[in-house]
Amino acid sequence: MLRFAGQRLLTLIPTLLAVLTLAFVLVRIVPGDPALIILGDQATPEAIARFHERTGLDQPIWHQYFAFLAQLAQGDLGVSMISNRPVLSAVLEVLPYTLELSLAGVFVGVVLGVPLGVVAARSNGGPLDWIVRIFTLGGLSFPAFVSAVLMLLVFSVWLGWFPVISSGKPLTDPWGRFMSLALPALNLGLVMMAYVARVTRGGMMNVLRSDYIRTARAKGVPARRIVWKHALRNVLLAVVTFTGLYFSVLIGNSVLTEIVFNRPGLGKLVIGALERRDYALLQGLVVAYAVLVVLVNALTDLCYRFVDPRVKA
Amino acid sequence: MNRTGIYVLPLVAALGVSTAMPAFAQGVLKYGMASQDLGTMDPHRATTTPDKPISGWVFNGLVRFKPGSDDIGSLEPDLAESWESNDDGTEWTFKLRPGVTFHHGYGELTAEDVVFSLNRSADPDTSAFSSDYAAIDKIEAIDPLTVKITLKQPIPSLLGLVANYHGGNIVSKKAAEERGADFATQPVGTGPFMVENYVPQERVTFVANPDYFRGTPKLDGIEYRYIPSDSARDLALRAGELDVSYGRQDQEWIDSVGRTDGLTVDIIRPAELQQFHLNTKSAPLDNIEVRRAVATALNRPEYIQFIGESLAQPAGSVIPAGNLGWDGSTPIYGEGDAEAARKMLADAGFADGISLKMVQTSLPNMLSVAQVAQAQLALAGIDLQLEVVDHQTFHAQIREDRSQVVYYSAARFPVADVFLTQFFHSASIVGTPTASINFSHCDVADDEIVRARSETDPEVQKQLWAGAQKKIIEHICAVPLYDQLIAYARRDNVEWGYDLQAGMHLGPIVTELTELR
Repeated sequence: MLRFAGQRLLTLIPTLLAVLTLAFVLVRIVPGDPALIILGDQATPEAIARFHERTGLDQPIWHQYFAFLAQLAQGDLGVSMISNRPVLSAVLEVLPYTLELSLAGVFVGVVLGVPLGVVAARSNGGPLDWIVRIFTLGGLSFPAFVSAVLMLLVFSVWLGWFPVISSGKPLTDPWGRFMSLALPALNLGLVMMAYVARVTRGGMMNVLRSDYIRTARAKGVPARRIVWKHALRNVLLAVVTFTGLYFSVLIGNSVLTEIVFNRPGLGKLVIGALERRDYALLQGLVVAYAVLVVLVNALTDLCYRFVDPRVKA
Repeated sequence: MNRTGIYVLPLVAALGVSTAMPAFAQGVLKYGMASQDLGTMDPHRATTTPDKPISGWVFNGLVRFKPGSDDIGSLEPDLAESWESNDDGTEWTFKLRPGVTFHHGYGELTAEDVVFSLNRSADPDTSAFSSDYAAIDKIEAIDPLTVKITLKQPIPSLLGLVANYHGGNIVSKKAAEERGADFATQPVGTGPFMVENYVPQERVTFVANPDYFRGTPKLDGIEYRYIPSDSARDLALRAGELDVSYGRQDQEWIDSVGRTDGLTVDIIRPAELQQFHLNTKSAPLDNIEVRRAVATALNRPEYIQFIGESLAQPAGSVIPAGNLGWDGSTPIYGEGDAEAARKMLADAGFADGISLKMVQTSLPNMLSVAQVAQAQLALAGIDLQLEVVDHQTFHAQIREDRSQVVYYSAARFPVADVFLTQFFHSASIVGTPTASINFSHCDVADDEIVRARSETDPEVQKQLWAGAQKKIIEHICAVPLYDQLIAYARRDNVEWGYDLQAGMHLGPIVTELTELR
């Protein structure tokens, strides 16, 4: 297991280096200047020059690049060019919110998506199948920011069940925290639910046609048991693969949900850093995302071992 | 201009939102702002719409704009009890109010804090407003409660520089030195509210300053929430989770909020002048007849219709209405006469029309105005080619002199000198070492602008400023489209405690008298 983890980390290095270089170059190719943000639109050329000097932006780009890598090698993500605060603490402050939301979204997606898919497969062409297919098509084609506003309107403004502003509830208030997480998680999980339902349905239909299921049927195993125990176990492998892949997408997608439900998070941090041309913060965020994606992939691999006893790492 | 959001409010409006408003008064004012996050709470660095209101709650100046007013003539004592100046206005002495204390146990305000603060504002390394303080020779503490400011030459409004605005805000010397960069999130002032806590991307909480020198505030505190989505802010206001909210700046939103029971719209100055700057040195705009044709083809009344009469007011000059020295006596082109414009172009030798390049920000409000202009100019055979880029790219490229037409929206310190100098004095021409934001390369009114700066007779000074505006308009360096005000919404139980007409901090100031009924 340790060896497995070590290999993973080693393969991470070239990937990370490539991603970082790309991020480093891209943010600098885009015109714009953090100096104008910090100094305002009335800044004098002299003041801008002094800002560049202080932040190292007056150095040649390769110089900046190696300085950044050297810093990173020491585990230092640097300080934000705009706020002067350490990038690492800016990321760590909001990371729990993003993880909380993404995990809750995955939970919603899987817990709702799998049963829907199974029900649809069993109905195969019947009315339930059609209902699920239309429902999931809706989930896939509805933009997240529209569903978010609709949910807020119905559940928060009209019915008053949930808060509109889903932030500011401390961990010491678990109920408040849960209530403020519910709608964003549902919104984020809906699209995933639709995908999961379709993956499950497709997988289920294949498996239900296979020989061993026919054998089980012939032996007189009850249909419910065949579906939920024998068939589903095989389908779950595809679901886990999909979930692992989609989890990374979800972390990226969460930004729209974060904005409408007003939750802190990595996505909002990225947008803010881009708008303000906070190069240092952007680079730090790229590192954070890369690490997250690798961790999620490793977790997915681990999950295979639970679902499928044949997989031995 | 710093607005981000998802523009789905029409959807909400179309569904006809109306809810019963729970009417419970609380001691904490919940104030929603259109921003992802805090930039800075350091008053000498705060340049954006979301950052500025905070300065007004936490800090004081030596003098202050009367709450709710942007009239430079209405400045009244704040941290200074009284002041006097010599005859030519180059030496000013301020007597401080005794017994004023800083927040969080940082002790009594002394002349040393004032000297430190103003020097900090004049230093480009610590202040975004250092150029405003260029005329200051020295600032001295005569005794613990007396400050003397000596100027190199008289300036139009020294009091404006020591008002509760931008660099005039007085910070605690001890706190600023101790906290360094952290002062941006843990500022220490003397105002009615003290910063308690900042949660990134979420909010800043303020508590009432029980020792505030004008009396303990009626509110217990303020919760300043960062909510970038227009529709989310709107829903939160309607659900009672916000008391005050930065509005969506258009007529449809104003009408929708206005129709809702329990909500009120506040429309405030300062006006941001929306203006097209024409590069007078770039062909074919270097030909004044071509500029005249452009100005004639633009239909200014249509912008008022487009934006809405509540928010947009006809612009009467090339500086924002309400500025000291504003003069609306020179007629401006812009009646949308496409035929006349075509003829002018033909007479100037461009019978086939012209094509102009314009780098344009993608900020939705500004982009739609540019598109209106594009359609208007097309009628006269003028092809306005929009290069739409994101807001920061826009700011970078127009400063590199890459746009023949620049659409800029701005409000400045409300004395004509500031706007005229930055936009129309030759020293400010973009691409030069002393560049500011003179996009038009205008240089026809240098003499008037400079002479007005040190003129001590207010009447003569106003005539010089009026003369400068006349020359700039007649030379068609810029075409002012309209003056835009700022809209906020509040629940009816919010009582500002003063007559709200303007907010120098681009938002309603919350004072010790503000309450929730």
